[in-house]
This record gives sequence, structure tokens and C-alpha cells, in this order.
Amino acid sequence: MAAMMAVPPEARERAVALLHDAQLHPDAAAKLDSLRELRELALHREPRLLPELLPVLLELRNDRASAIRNFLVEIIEEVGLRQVEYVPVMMPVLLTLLRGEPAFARRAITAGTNLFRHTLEYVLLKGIYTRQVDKFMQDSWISVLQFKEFVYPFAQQHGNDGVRLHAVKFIETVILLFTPDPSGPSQPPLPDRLDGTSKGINVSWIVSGHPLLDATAMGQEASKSLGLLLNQLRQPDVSALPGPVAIVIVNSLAAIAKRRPSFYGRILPVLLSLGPSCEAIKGGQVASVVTALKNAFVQLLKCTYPAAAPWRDRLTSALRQMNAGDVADLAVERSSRGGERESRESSSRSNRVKEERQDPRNKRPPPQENGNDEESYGKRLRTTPPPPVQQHFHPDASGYANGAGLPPIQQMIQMFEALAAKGEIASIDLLMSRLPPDTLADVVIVNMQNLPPSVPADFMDKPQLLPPPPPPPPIEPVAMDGRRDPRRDPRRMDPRMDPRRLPSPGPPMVMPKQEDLQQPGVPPVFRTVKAEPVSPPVMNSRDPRASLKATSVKMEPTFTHVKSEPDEDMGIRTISTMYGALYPSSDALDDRQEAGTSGAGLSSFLPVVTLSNEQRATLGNSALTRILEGSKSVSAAGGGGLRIALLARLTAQSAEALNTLQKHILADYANHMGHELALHVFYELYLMHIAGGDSIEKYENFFVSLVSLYSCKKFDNVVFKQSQGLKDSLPPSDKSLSKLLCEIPLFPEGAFALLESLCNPINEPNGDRVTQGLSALWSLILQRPAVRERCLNMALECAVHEVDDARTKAIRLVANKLYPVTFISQKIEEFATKMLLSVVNVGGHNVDSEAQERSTLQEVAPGDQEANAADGGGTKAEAQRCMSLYFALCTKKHALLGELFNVYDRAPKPVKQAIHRQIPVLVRTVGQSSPELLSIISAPPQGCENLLLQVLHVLTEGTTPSPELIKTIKQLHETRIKDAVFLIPILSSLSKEEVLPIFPRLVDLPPDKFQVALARILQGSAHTGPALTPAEVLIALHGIDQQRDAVPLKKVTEACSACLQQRNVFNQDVLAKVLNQLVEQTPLPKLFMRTVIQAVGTFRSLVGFVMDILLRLVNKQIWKTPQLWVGFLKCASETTPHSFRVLLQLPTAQLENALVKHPTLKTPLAAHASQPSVRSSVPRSSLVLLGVIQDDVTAVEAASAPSSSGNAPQQ
Amino acid sequence: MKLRHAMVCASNQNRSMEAHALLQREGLDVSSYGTGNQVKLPGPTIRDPNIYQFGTPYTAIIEDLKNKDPDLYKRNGLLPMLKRNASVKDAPQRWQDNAGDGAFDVVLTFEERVFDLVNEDLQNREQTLFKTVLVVNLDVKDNHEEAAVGAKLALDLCKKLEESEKNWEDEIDDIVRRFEKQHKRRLIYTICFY
Repeated sequence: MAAMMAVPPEARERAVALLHDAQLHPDAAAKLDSLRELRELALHREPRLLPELLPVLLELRNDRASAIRNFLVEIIEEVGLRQVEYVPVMMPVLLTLLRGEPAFARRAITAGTNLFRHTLEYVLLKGIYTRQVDKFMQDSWISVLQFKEFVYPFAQQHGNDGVRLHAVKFIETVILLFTPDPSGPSQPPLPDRLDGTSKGINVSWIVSGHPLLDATAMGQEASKSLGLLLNQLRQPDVSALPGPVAIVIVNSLAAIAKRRPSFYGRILPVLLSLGPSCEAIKGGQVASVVTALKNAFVQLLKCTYPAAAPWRDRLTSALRQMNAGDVADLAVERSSRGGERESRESSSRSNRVKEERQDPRNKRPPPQENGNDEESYGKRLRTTPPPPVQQHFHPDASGYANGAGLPPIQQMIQMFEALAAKGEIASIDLLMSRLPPDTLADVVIVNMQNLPPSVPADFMDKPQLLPPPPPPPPIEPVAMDGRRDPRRDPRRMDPRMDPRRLPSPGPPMVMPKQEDLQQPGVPPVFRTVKAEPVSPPVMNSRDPRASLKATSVKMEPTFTHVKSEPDEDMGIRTISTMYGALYPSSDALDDRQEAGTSGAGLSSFLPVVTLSNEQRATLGNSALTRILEGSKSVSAAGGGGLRIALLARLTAQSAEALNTLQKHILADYANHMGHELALHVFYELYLMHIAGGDSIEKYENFFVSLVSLYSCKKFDNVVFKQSQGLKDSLPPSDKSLSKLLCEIPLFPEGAFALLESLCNPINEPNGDRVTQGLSALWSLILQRPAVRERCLNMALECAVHEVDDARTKAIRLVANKLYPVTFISQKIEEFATKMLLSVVNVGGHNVDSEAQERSTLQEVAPGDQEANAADGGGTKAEAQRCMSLYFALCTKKHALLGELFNVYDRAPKPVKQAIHRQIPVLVRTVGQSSPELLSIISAPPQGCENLLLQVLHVLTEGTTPSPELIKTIKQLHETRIKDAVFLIPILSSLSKEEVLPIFPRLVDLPPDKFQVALARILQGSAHTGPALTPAEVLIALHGIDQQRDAVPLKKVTEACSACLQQRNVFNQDVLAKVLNQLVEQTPLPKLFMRTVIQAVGTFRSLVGFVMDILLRLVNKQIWKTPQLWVGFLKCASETTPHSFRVLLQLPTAQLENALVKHPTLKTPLAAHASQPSVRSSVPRSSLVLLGVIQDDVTAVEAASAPSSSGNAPQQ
Repeated sequence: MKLRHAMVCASNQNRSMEAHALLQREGLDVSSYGTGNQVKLPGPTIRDPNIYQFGTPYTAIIEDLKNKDPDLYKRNGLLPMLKRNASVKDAPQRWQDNAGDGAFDVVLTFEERVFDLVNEDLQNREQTLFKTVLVVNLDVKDNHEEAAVGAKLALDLCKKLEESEKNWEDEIDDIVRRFEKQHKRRLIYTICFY
């Protein structure tokens, strides 16, 4: 209220007036004007009005005009950015707006993102400075967390793509905010420089603790959020992803990977798996998504931190596939050029600072490209964290408020000294708890000069492990170099990166690092040490180190004795030099004592506790655990490689340490650089074995427990769910196991057992393990010649596995990947042939193969019910199991087909069935143009006719046979197998001239085969049309000569019937045409009358036409051909009354003959003839015969009738 | 609310200026930039181009060219182009240095390399507003005729985007598809944040 009183009355009046205007004005535009002025007043001119005005303003959320609500979001953002304490009040309103129309939701997310960042910044910094939580902080933080929970789901699902974009961006922002920025400032700005403007924050500032925020939990949260984004790019979500969202996610992930090296390894596999075409992403603008992906790859390729290096090749090849290889080359070239230039530079100063070159942290961004180089791909990305400037080591770093000119370390030490002098141990404790671990570590290191003069007995107990400290001289040059810029000291660059100086979580352990390296057996220096006040810089002209300090004490107040040699050799030697540092030569110590500083005095009281072995082990182990937990910050800073080498050497010493390391590796294989770590340990163990120190058992044991844990981790569902990170980092197609197996120095026996179990999925419903086992075998066969043979055998065994799934996968591997490899293809072929022969030869040679073949072929068609019909050679399934590999090889090497045909004849029935079942797929793959297949067809081995026939059918199914195939089959038919059945597949492609000669042979086939052949002939090919028209078919049928063509008449009649049954094809027009042609033939075809009868029986409408035919036959004196005459009469009797006309045309003798054969005709015929119109045209004798007229001639006629009928045949 | 457009090519002379001039005439809110390190204009031979710093006024460039070879530069259309440019704004501006010009809603580039550069630049800027910006590439050859065609296409696209009334984030695929179908030109777009 007091504040309110201070508001000038006129401002208040103006505010009230504006509020009135805004509330009363019906017009939104005018209302907006009033509100704008109100905002100006409340935010800029009289902020004290805000508490009063804000509730009224928030009521605007119910305003109908969208412009007003939009304005409200702006106000909320602006107020929140200025006064964080209002965030909790405003957040509910923002959340309401989030639920509204997309336009507001978008704007609200943007505002909320800003508020979230700002609030976090506020809470974080305030917590660091005040070390306590107030209600404002808590409320603000909770309210923005609410916002976060509310917005997260939008990223996955929202009706409006625009809203999703903003939600994705929000998640990206949260991830970046929640994870330490390796290139950001490592120290928070000083409180007095905090003026409300945003400077950016770094979570690494609160690793040591924060009253409200938990850096670890935030890290986990960020990792989970990342999973949320990554999952959207995985199947099945990705297929439903709209283009703009996909683009924004890809951009966001690239930004995260670029700025947070620790996530690089998680993000890249997902991006790479999107593939060059992004085919998984449906939706319209795939090209844009591809471009986004390409740009992401290019940017990531430019990253130079170590975690990025292993991915470079994959990125390059991915870019090549996207036709962006030039860009990739450019990026690679640039980064390698940068590297070269750097190594040149560093070698030029290598004499002075040898170690610098090897320190990955020293990679600084190469100088900016010459501005004229326009072809260069834009500005080089600054992904390498610039050498973090440690302000407190900067002699000329300004801005230290106390202005004492002393670096903070020095100030700190002085402070400790002062406190120690006063004996205020409690204050020292308090001070330490506030110090960032880095600073504390520096203080401790400086303080080490003051360690007790007498070396504790424990240190001397292990001369074999740790040689006595070498004399100082070798270290001197480094320390002596006065020109050396202290900032270039790698240890100074970033204390977190020095493996010996991993940040300990909080104060309890001050110097675990040294012990860890010297483990086992070195007792920890106890907590009391850290309270040790430091001595002022030692001034001693006799000690060169001291003289250095005299000149550069303010720049280099720490531990210059330790020679930094941060490459892989940094083993025992470095440790020993550290010894030298810890326990300098006695005269140096004496000197210091002589100097008589208070620090030295104090340090002589250091208590030394002797530990039991268990205690030692426990302490060592817990120290190791801490080291391992520090992995994140180390790898983030880029010191991973060195750390791994050290860890491996360290842990290889003891089984227990190995155990701990194992668990660490498996906890998060990808992020903990599990592969590199494990590999280093293997090499270490192997070296120890070679050197005779250890039995090979240790090596084997480590392997077995590592992989068994690995597989349990990977496949046990319970564990699986718990370790979300593992699931994200190791996809089912994970190759880490095979990579490890390929690279370990010695291939352990236990690995065979492991592979064996992976490839035998008897108890494993899930096929993932098989794939994994097989891919491991594949890599091993290619990369480890020593175990090639055994692995190959394993893969081959798997290719005849009982379990279908395993077998299929193995066959795919063997046939597609291994078989093309020249040095093993022979062996694979032999194995496959052996397996083939094993099933073929089981039943021995079957004598009655002919009969069996018939039955086999018939059984193939109906289906596979006979699969289990076992006879001697095992079941069909068994046969298939053993032969599948061979079949798969055949597709790769067609020449192998020959053997298949060779063995077919003697194979037992189930094997034949299996062959028949599998061959279609094989033949279709091989195709009709394969010369090997054609040569088999042209000269098939004995007894494989059935197989051959099936092959031919498959080859011609649905396609036009190639000219070569036709030629080959014809050749086969002409020279070797006369059976026309082989011609059926190509009939449709043959010409009329080619079909006609073989037509009788086709007719001679069994009826069903003839039907097929007929269909093919009539169908013809698309180019040439049918080989024969239906009419030509019938004519050809009638032209078949029983004797000449050796076709039984029965076959021909059957064929005719078969044709005529197809009423649609052989319709009445066709028949009429055929009959017309046939009737002209002399002699008439034998079956002519039969066909006529059938024709008229099928098509009654043909009867008139048939009568004409009959008349023509009468004219041709049909009765002279007895066979046809019978048919003629039959036809006539069946076509009464139409045939009366024809019958009456017969000569009387033949008429009589007809009446004798068909007596029933007489009466109706007589009735017909007696009609006056007919009667006149009928010969008298016939009329008499019919009894239509009775006259005296009757007797004569009757008498002569026998003679005339007797004469008839003679005419 | 009107969208803020930026037209970007390599040297902020031909393609981006052609589009800038046209869009400005049509009343759109538009700026234009180049992404090169310097402004390059054709010279007497292909090996000696005329090079200027960004920020060199168009009038100064005109004077310089006139002094060098007025006939040549009139003939190849440089002088008319520069005069047109001078009527639109003072001097070529560089995209990478435009942080002070505020956030754009739509950035239209006329060459894929320029698109990539704009994209990279936007991603490397510190993002504080969380405001979306649509970056679209429309390939246009760097000659006067094509630039005129490209400007018309740019106008059409920007109008389509304006019509979507700030909702382009939801409709962008659709807008791009319609544009591609209508003009048979391929577009590539991406979405960045300020």
C-alpha cells in the first residue's frame, strides 16, 4: 500500500480513465488504443500501478475480440519478463489461452517459452547467490513447470501444425536450458552484475547444488524430452508427421546435437535412419524435409568435438547418397584442413609446450576464412568450444569487484588462511560448501605443497607398482619456461577436463583423484586436509620451482610441478611424477620448513590413518564410482579419449574395479562410450596376459560377464524398461556387440558360446537376437581371419536351422552377404551341396522312379497336405530345411541349378515335393534369360522331366517367353524329348506354321493337358495374335490322320468334343465356317458327320444351314461312304421335320435304305410328301415307296426295289 | 497483420532487388539482402568482376561504373538495373548483418546456396523471440529476364502467404503445393526461429 501511495495521483487518474475507455468502448480498435496507452503507463512510466492493474487486465481473456486477447498475451509476456513474481498469477490465463484457437495457442507458447527461460534464469541465479528459496521463486518455478507439462503433449499431437512447431521449439529450448553448455561460461556472473537483463545461464553452475533446482534431475528431464522428439522421427510416428513439423524437429535436433555434444550420439542414429530419401515421411513436401536433413548433416559434419568424430564417415556417406557429396567433402576438407593447420602451428611451438598438441581441448576454431573465398561454404561454424577463458586466471581480467588484482584462487587461499589462523573451522567448512568444485580443487592443489614432510609408510609399501619418485629434473623445463603463458597450460583450460581433477560431487572428498590413480593401496588423504590453509608462495632462490613462483606467482599459483602429458602414455610415469610433486625432494621441503610459514606448520599435524584392506577396497571402489559418474562433464568437455585410456589401465588391476566399470559401461552403452571403454580394458587385460602377469582367464571372465550382462540388459524386459536411455541408444539393430567382438585383441572362447546361444533362438520368441548374432558372425568372418572358419560354420549351421525365422535370416546373410566374398564362397557352396545331397541320398536310389514321379507331380498341385508323408528321406519340411540354402545360392550362381536337376531324379518323394514347392520362386528370380538355365533346358539330365516342366511353366507364367527360351524349348523337343507337353508353355508364342505340325501331338496328350494347350493356342501372344483361330483348330482336328499321325480316333473325338463344349469360342459362326470348308474336302473327314450332328445339337439355329450341308452331301452321294452315311441318316433323323426335304431328295433306293434303318421316319415323311406342294417334286418311285400313291406300278416298283437297292452300292 | 518479407540473393542487386521493387510497388512490407561476402557485379571479363563492399550506395556504384566504361555497362544492363535499385533503397545490404532489422516472417531466397546460407545463419543466431520465420527457396537464374519472371513468382507466393493470415505454419505444405502446381516451379522451404 505504501508503494501505491507513492503513485502520482494524475497517473492513477489517467489509468482509471483509460481503463474505463477500454471497458466501455464497443470498438475493438479504439479499445486497443486505450489499452496500449495503459500498458505504456503501467509498464514503463509507473510500474507501481501494475499490481492494481494486472487483475483487471487479465480479465480481458474473456474479451470477444481476438485482437484484444492477442494483446493480452503480449502484456503477459512483457510483464513476466520484467517482473518474474507476476508469472504465477498470469500463468493460468496463459494456459486458458493455450486451449483456445490455434493463433492464440501459438502466440501463448511463444510467450510461455520466453517466460520459462526467463523464470529459470531468475530462479537459478537467485538460488546461486542467496542459497535459499523464497515463495516467489518457488511459485514462479512451479507455474512455468505447469506450462511445460501442458505444452509438451502438443508437440506430439495437435490439430494445428503451427502449434506443434512452437511446442517442438519449446522442447528444444527446455533441453538446451536443462543441460550444461560446454562452450558457455563456466562461472555465473557476479551478483552485482545481475541487472535483470538476460545473459544466458548454464546448468553447470548448479552441479554443486542449488536450493530449488536439481541439475541431475534436469539432465534426466532433458534426456526424456529428447526422447520425445526422437520418437517422432521413428516409425510408426514418422509416417504421420506433417512436413513443417518434420522440418522443425530435424532443425531442432541438429541444433541440440551441435550445442550438446553429449547428445550427439543419440541424435545422429535417428537422423541417419531417416535415410536419404526420407521415404518414411509421407505428406507433400518431402524435398524440403530432405533439404532440412541435408543441412542438418552438413552442420553436424562441421562439429569438431570428439564425440562427433566417429560419425563423420556415416554423415559423409549419407550426404553422398543425397547427392550432396560435394558439400560433405567441403566440410570434411575444411575440418581436416583446420586440423592440419593447427598441428602445424602447434608443432612450431612444440618445444615449449609439447603436451598442448595432444590435448584435444586445444583445438581452437581455425582462423576465419578469407573473406574473398566465396565458394567456401559460408562462415565456419563455431562448434568447437573456444578455450574457455578462465577469468580468474586471467592476470588482466577486469571486472573483479574487489579490485584487489589478485586472481580469485589467490583470494580464496588468503581467505582460507585467515580463517585457519583464527581457527574457525566451521567457517572454513561453510566456505568450502559454497565453492564450485573447480575452484576448490585448485585450492587443494595449491595446498599440496604443504603436505607432511615424512612420507606415510603406506606409500613406500608398493615400490613395484609405483616406482620411487624420479628426480625432479625431467619436469623442470616445463616449469622453468618463463615465457609460457599460464593460460596455455592445458590443465588451466578447464579444470573439469583434467582426468586427475574430476569434480568430486560436493566437498566431502577433496583429493580422490590421486588415490584413484594409485589404487590400490594408497590411503586417502582425509577430510581434514582440505581445511588446510595454504602457505603464501614460497620464495626460495635455490629451488627453481620456487624461483618461477617468484616471477609468476600470480599467474600460476598452482601446482606447476606436475608435468601434463595428457596422451595415452600418461600412465605410471605421470603418476610417478605426481609423486614427485606430492613428495618433493627432501631439501625442498626443508627449505620450506626453513621458510617457516604458518601453512607448513599446520600441515605437519596431518593425521595418517592406516586402513584395513576392506576399507581400502571400499574407498577405492567408491572413488572409482565417482570418477565414472563424472563421465558426463568429462565427455562434454571433450576429454573422453584420455579418460578412457586411464580408466582402463586403472580398472584392469582389480577384479572388483572391473565389476564396477562393467556396470557403468552397461548402464548406458552409447553415452558412456561403452565400446571404447570396454575395448581399452580388453587391450589392457590382454597386455597383462602377454606380459605374463595374468592368466588369460581374467580376460575371458571379463568378456563373459560383460556380454552376459549386456544381453541381459538388452533383452530382459524389466531392466529394459528401467533404462530408458539404453532403449533409446541401442536400437534392435544395434551393432555394438559385433563391433566389440571384431575389435577386441583376442577372441575369447566364451564368445563362441555367446554367438551359439544368440543364433539358437529355441527359447527366444523374439528374433532380434538372431539378427544380432548373425550380424556379429558376418563382421567376424570378414574381419577376424583367425575365427573365420568357426564363425562361418556357425553361420552355415544356422542356415539349416530348425527354426524358420533363424534359418531365413541366416540364409539371407549367407547368400547375400557372405557368398559374394570370394575366399569363402567355395566353402559355402560345398556346404550347401552337402546338405542338398544329404537329403537326396537318404532314401537311396528309387527304382520305380517313373511311377513315383507321376504321383509326385499330381500331389504337387493339390497342395501341401502331403508334407508329412514320410518315406525314408524324412519329411518334406526337413528336406526344405536342408535345401533352402542351396536354393538361395542358386539365385546368386545360376550354374548351381544344374546339380539340382541332376539330383532330382534320385531324390525321394518328399524331397521332390520340396523342390517343386520352392522352385517357382527360384526360377522367377533367375529369370528366363539366364544362359545356365537355358543350357539345362536344352539338355536336361535324365529323369527330371517333371521338374523341367514346372520350370518352363513358371518361366512363361504371365510373361512372353523370350526368343532364346522358345528356341531352346523347340530344340529340346526336336532333339531329346518328344513329349509335346514341354511345348505347351511356349505355344502362345508360336506361329501357325509352327503349331500345325505339332498339333497332332498335342491332341494325343491327356485331355486336361490338351485343354491347356488349346487355351494357349487360342490365346496367342499379344504381338502376333492367336496361333490358330478356333476355326483353324477344328479344321486341323479334322485333318488328323489316324495312321499317319498315330493318334487314336478316340483322342480326336474327345478333342472335338472338348472344343465344341466351349460354346463361346466355338460359336455357330465358327462352326458354320468350319462345316462349309470341310464339306468341300475330298474325301470328307471321317469325323465330319459327327461334328455336324454335334453342331446342330449344340446350336439348334444351325439347322437350316445343316440342311444345306446335307443336301450337298446328297449331291456328293454320301451313301457311297458307309461310315458317313450312317452319320448322315442319324443327323437327318435327329433334325426332322427339317430333314424331310433332304430325305426326299435321296434316290428312292437310298430313301428306302434310310427308312429301313430308321423306320419311325416313314409315317411323318409320308405325311410330308403327301402335301400337294411337295408331292409334285418328289419322284414317283419315292412316293410309291412311302405309300403316298398306290398304282399298278407298285408291284413293279416293289419287285424292282430289291434290285435297285441291291444295285445302289454298285453305282 | 501484414507479414514482413525479405528477398535474398547473392549480391542484393538483381534478383532480390527486382522482387523488392515489385513487392514494394504492390504494397507489401519487404526488404532485401545479399548473402555474399561482397557485392559482385560483372566486369569487362569474367575474371575481373567489379567488387564492392555491402553498404556501398548504388549511386556510388553507378558513378564508378560510369567512370570505367559507360558504354559497356549500359549495354549489359547494369546501369539501368542500378538506377532502378537506387530508386528502391540506398545501398545493398548483407543478410548476415541484418540482426538489427528485426524479425521477418517470410524470407525468400533465389538460389539454393543462398537458402543454405540464410538457413545456417538463422540457426547460428541466438534465438530469443521464438518467433517462426519461413525460409523459401525459388531457383531463379541470375539474369535480367529471369529475375523479372522470378519477381512475379515471388509476388504471387508472398500474396498467397499473406492470404493465409498468419496461419501459414499450418497451411504451408498446401500453399507450396498449389504454387508448384500452378507455376511448375519447385520450392524448398524450411522453418527457423528468431
